[in-house]
Order: sequence, then C-alpha cells, then structure tokens
Amino acid sequence: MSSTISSISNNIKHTTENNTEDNEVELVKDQIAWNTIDIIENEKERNELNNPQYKHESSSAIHNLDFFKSIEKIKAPLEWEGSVLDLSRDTFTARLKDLVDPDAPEEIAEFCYDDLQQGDETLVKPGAVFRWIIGTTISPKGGMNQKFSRLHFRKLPAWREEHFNKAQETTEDWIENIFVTDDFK
Amino acid sequence: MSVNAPAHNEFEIVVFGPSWGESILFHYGNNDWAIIDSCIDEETKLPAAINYLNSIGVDHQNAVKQIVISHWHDDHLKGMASIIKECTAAKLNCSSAYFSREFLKLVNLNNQISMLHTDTGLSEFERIMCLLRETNRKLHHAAQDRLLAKEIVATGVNFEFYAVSPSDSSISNFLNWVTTNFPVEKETERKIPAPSGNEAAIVNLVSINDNHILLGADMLEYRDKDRGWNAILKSVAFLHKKVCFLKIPHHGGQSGHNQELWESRIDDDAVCILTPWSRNEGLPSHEDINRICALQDQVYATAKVRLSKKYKRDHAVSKLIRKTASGMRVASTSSGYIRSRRNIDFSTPWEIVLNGEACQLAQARD
Repeated sequence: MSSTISSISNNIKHTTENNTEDNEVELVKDQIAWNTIDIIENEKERNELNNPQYKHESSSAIHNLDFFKSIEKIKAPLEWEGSVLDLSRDTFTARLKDLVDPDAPEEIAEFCYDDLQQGDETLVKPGAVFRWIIGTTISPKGGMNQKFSRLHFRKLPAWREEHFNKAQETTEDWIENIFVTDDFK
Repeated sequence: MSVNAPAHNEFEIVVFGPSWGESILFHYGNNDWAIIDSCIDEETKLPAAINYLNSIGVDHQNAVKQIVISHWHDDHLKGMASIIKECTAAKLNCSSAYFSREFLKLVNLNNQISMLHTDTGLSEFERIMCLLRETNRKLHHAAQDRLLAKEIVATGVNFEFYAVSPSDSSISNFLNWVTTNFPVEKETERKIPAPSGNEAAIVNLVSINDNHILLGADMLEYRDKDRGWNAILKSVAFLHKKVCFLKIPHHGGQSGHNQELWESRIDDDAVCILTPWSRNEGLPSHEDINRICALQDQVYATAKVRLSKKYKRDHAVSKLIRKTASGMRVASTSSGYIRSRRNIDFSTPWEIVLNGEACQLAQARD
C-alpha cells in the first residue's frame, strides 16, 4: 500500500511543480507527506498489532488522499494544526496554530461535529489533534474550481513500550537530580 | 506612569495579565524580588515580569530570589522556562503534586507525541525540567503550610513567604486525575488535556509582621472541607489571619468564590485585584463583578473583559473560515498591570498605579 501512496503523492507534486502561475501556491507538500506518513504509520501498526481499528484508520486516510488526487492545484491554501480544548453537545472548541503564516498568533475557534469527515467523530476528545485546510481546488483539464474546507483528525501512532521506558528513564533521572526534599530550614 | 524602582525600604506588588496568562511580581525589600507564574507580553514576546524589571532598571538575574510555579495550566506557565533561565539566583518552588513519578512520566510522554506544532503547559513544564537538568538547578516542594522563605528585611520587620495549598487531599485528588488520564500502551497518542480543576495549585501567603497578602492563583471552591479554599482557611499558616491584599482567585469566577474568605478573612480596606479571562463568555461575568464589588470597595482588574481580537485576513479567506469555524479569535488578549506599593513596615497606605488596560473592576465589562 505504501508504494501506491508514494506514487499518488509524486504525481501530485509533479503536476504542481510544472505550474508557476501567480498567486497559486504549490500544493502543500507537507500535507501530502503528512497523510503518507499517517498511512504508513498505521500500516506498520496494523502489521504489528493486527488490530482491526487500524484498517478503518487507513481507509479514512486514503479517502482523504482521493480528494487531493483529482486536483491539479490548490490556490492559497491555509492550514492549521488544532488541538481540542472543550466538547459540547453539537460543537467543540479548539486551539489553532497557523502552519502557513508563522507570524500569526495562536487562535481559538468553535467547530460543528457536522463538518467532520465520516469516522472522525469518535476521535474528538480533549487533546485530540487535527488539521484544518481551506482553499480553492483547481481541477485538471479546465474543470470547475471549488472552494473547500476540510477538517481531518490526525491518526497518530499508538503509544509503544519504548515510549513508556524512555519516560520512566528520564523521570528517574529528574527525581535523582532536580528535586529537593530537605527543604527550607 | 512612574517607572522608578521601589526603594529598599518599600514593599511593592505588581499583578500582570492577561495578554497570555497571569503573573505576579513582588519586592520584599533590599532589592529582593519574587515572581509567581508567567504572563507573556504579546508585543515583546517576553515574560511581563522580566520586561517590568528591565524597565525599572533592576538586574533580574541577581535580584529575583524566589520563583513559584503555581500550576501547570499554560496561562500561568507559558514563558516560565525563560524566566528561570534568566533569573539564575532564584530558588524555584513547585507544587508537591508535581513531584510524583506518574505526573513526571506524563510530562515525558507528552513530549514524545509525534510531530506536534501546538504547545501545552506540559511542554513548558518539560522545557523547565530539561533546563534545570542542564544547569544543575533544583526544584523545591511547595504544599500547604510550607515556609518557602523567611527573612528580617528591615529593623523589626519580618518577612515570611508561605504556600497555603495544595492540601494533602487535593494532592491525592490530583494524582487520581493523573492515573485516570495516564496513557495506555497501544492506545492512539493524544495530547494530555489539562485537568479541569486547579486544586493542585499553590496559593501563597506573604506576611510582613502582622500584615498579610494572599495570592489566590486559580484555586477553586469544593464542597469537601479538605480541598480547595476550605482547606486553605484551615491551614496553620493562615489561621485567624486577615489579609490587606488579595489576588482574587480564578479570574473572579463563582467557582473560585468562598464566602467565608470574603466575609471574614479580608480587611475592609483591602486591595483586591483580578486578571480577566476572555475565552468563551469570559470571566468575571456581570454577576461576578456585582458580587465582588458588593463585598469590597478597592477592587481592580488588570484589563477589561472583552473578547479577543480577530486576526486580520483577506476578506475571501475570512468568509471561508466562517463557513467552518465560528468565533475564531486570537487566543491572547490586551493586557495591563497594577502596581501597589507601600513602606516595608506597612506604615503607609497602599499607593495604587493602574497601567495599560487596567481599570476599576466595576468598569471591567461593557
């Protein structure tokens, strides 16, 4: 599966690199790379764990790539990384970091669950991380341009034993070297 | 605005906020200073307390003797690593709740989450720990009734600096929260959400002889007599004492209100100061302002409660944003600070100076 994804990704990059029209920004390579990494990570996880959960996540990510596959370019794409702060019945609030404009301050906004891609609803939890991309797609061969806004919850890899081992090791080092227990006298 | 440094025989306390956070700085004589928490100045991107000390010509590297990390919410912690890096002579005090192995492992796990751009209070905490490790500096316990500093600051003038929280029960509840939210192997990574309660926070008591100042952090009220404000009122260090200065807890919200504190532990002519909170409906609410103003006369806010500004973008882009996200605003807001000063022996009244957006609490909300 990984090779198929790479080929899709390369194809998109190739198409965009050949066009230099003003105000039209090359399709965000990071976005493609990011989706690719997600899928590869999940593929690896799936092989390792043989967990059905990952089949669902991979197909969701591929669905996301299909959306971009039919696009020649994206005009002025904007992209944020969001992290969920609070949940309410119909909406959730998130803190946003602009990934395109490094000078933009952090922002906070409210989103409806209706705007999520199918399957992402279950991923909305405090602390969950997502990408929000907006822009205009320009279809190949003179097709109709379309404005789009997509929220995509990141399928982060799973916690592994080595994460916990590393955390344990650093924690013991901190306890031994940083903390003082014989305090003010 | 006068920007002179306090004299060696003057006590000064400055409350900054919110911009992004809340911070308190105080001078307890002889060019010795303490900083509690961090507030980032949106213009300079530097901690407001450091900016202020620079503006009055104080060598913060040597003059800051005490630093307190009250709790790990990012509106109190952001920029703290740079304060600690700058203030090399300071003793560093941190809630005992954060000395537990499970919490420290949580900090370390949060740091290992893949490819994140957004920051959290835990990321800042991890930066602090790495800095301390690199520079071989230590972190000291602060919990209920712990004496953090004690000095004779002038002839016949004793200075004492206490933590009056967290209580044992609050620490225990916080550790339960850590256990409940601790990541599980093979579960998908996610950022560690901040706990909704603030009961692991440090509330500080500053005593100059028989004059007391209470710095309420984000402490909340709980029904349980051993947690939050109920526990603080029973603490040995604060028992039978009334304060002449209060940093109002939790942005003046009802959730941080303890009636006994307001009715019987605050002097009638005390100065009370809060920093507002601008997310969602904002704090304090109209009801909060009315409640507090009915209880005390000298009440101030470091800024008006108003929604944050919007970040200016192209009209077409803004239109597209509105289709998906409502109420998108900059996370930080305008800010101000309030400086309160009097003689070190407290023989003179408070001299209050409002700066920036600071105002009387009654005018804090349109």
